[in-house]
Amino acid sequence: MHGKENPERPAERVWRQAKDVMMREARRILGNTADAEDAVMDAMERILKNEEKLLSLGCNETRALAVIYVRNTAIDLYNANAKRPLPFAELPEDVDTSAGPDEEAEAEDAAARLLRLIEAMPPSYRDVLLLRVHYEMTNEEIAAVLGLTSGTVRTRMSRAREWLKKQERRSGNAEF
Amino acid sequence: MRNFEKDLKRAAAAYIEKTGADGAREEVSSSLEDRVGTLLSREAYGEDVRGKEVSFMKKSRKWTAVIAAAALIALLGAAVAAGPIIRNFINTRTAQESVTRLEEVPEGWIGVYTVEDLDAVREDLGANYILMEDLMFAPEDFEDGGRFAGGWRPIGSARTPFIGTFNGNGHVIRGLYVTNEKGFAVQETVNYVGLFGYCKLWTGWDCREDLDPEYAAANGYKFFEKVETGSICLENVYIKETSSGYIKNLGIEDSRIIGVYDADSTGDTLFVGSVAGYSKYIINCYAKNVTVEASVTAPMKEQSGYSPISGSYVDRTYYSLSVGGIAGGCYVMDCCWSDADVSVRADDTDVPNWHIGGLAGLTVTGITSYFDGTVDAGTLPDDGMFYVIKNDVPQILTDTVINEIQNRLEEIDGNKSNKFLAFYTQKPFGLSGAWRPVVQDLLARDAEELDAVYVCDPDMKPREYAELSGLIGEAFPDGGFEAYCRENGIKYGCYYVYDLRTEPDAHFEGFDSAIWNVTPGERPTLKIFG
Repeated sequence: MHGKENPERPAERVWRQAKDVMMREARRILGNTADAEDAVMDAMERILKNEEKLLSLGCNETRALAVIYVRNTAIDLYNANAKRPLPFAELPEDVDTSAGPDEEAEAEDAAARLLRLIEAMPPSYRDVLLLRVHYEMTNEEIAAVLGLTSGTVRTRMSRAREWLKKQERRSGNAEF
Repeated sequence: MRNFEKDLKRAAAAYIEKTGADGAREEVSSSLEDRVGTLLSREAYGEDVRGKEVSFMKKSRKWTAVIAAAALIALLGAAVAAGPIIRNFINTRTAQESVTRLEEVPEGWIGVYTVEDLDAVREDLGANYILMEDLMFAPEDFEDGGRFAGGWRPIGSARTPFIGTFNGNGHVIRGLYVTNEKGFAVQETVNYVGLFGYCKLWTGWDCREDLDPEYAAANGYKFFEKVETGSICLENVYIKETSSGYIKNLGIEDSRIIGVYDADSTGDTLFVGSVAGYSKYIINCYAKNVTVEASVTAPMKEQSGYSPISGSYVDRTYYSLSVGGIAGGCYVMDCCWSDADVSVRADDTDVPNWHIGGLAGLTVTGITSYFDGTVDAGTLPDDGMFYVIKNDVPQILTDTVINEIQNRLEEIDGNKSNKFLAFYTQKPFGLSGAWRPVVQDLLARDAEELDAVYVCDPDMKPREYAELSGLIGEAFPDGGFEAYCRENGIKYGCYYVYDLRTEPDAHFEGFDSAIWNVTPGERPTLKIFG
């Protein structure tokens, strides 16, 4: 009588698992609910077009990826509305970067040190880096997620590594 | 190097885990849930998203409208048949089809017989109410110790809008006194002042196939073994029609409404009217011997661009002060009249935007109505009967108008034609009788004559709203869309409205004798009030 069961689609799972963090991230950037909802809608549209990348992700991976999606759609929306577009790297971040790598690097192992650097990294670089390193996406796939050209992705990826290198040099841990 | 890549991967994984596990939550509104649900349903079955080309539409000019409409319905139907939610695709609904007074409370409605019943409306803002008696407030009701000491508290606010339906049923409320003045009113500062404060209209339907029958019955869903909607057939579905914020068939007499914005006020708006501060839909209402007063004594705060007209945030647009005899603002005002005395005291340096009219401050559609009172806006220029927002989008179009716009856009650019059509969905007349009155209210002709009606997607984003408006503008580059709608029986824009201050000898052309008592030489009155 009620028809066959419909398996949950990847995008539906994203929505179920990540809508709260998506909304929070969008509001953080845009500052009001209505614009944030538009940004979330844009992100969901983008997610729908890249669903296959979501198939094998765990819950936290899904949530984190959803945040990346919505951060970029929110920034696009902010820039579209603003008289003076907000440079990506200027966006306020929640992470505490006051304890820089210089002071604490020695006490941390390499991965923990890099984690702190990733947290302190400009979001434009970090998103590209995470999508490549963790989600193992190609330049084209990253471009689709972030709404960029693959050329821009390549540039950001290069700069992200440069940024890491520079920070590592500052803390005396450069290995590359 | 190898270690760095490995460490970087570990660090990235740790960052992802940390971000993903972040438990801080942000509430997601039901409207966003609906929008995403609609998106997921639509995408699941291949309907192309708005703004993209729909390939089969490009192949035929002649059949574009017909094929596209069928496709939209078919795709919608596919989503209905298998997806959990389909889009709400109409956002207006009538309270009651009949323009005659009902003597019994219809099933599913709550009868309002006393002012206490009226006061109790605020306890359930989503129900459907019908007024069964004329109500009279006494002056002592608003004095210290009175039933409503300090003044009537508007029903519904911006934060807690009235989302039910109120059918005045041809009855009158007299002696109303509403104010948000400090020290006099019992309520906290409100920005929407009237019998009703803020009425948010929302109507649609939710169609599901996998509900538990007990849950369905308890929550207002009805089971349909078979529903035919044009070219598709749905089987074994549960359908629930949602409620709306809507006011109809109500008279207000011998009343005084006062709205104040001062230094302690919050928000960036003040909407003042007798029937409502703001209500999207006001039909068959009047305000007689009513004074509506508004004052602004401190600079209004331009905090946001929220537009109650479109129900969304509009980029850098502010509607700050809106005052009218019947409503501060409304989307549609049809079959209304007022002899209210409207007065406003404000300085233009305090008010970034103002709209002051005898019937309404702001409206998008004002039809078959008249004003016979006074407007005194002090140093601010007033807007006559109302300020009509131009370049808005029509909620409903007939197949004739749809085809005309499509053909015009097709000559410019086929993609624009397709894009335009994607904003509208053909309404399935056969689905439910409750839909027909909605359409009828928005038409200046008999719905029975129509082959097809298209309703505008209510889930549009502000920029999509602007895009649609732009497309219509391109189709009618020299203006004239409003006139074209009028010729084709669509209520859109402003016509058949009469300001008796400047037209004392108006003949009230366009007033429907089924709704109005029209006697030569006399002011028309609404039939439902006797």
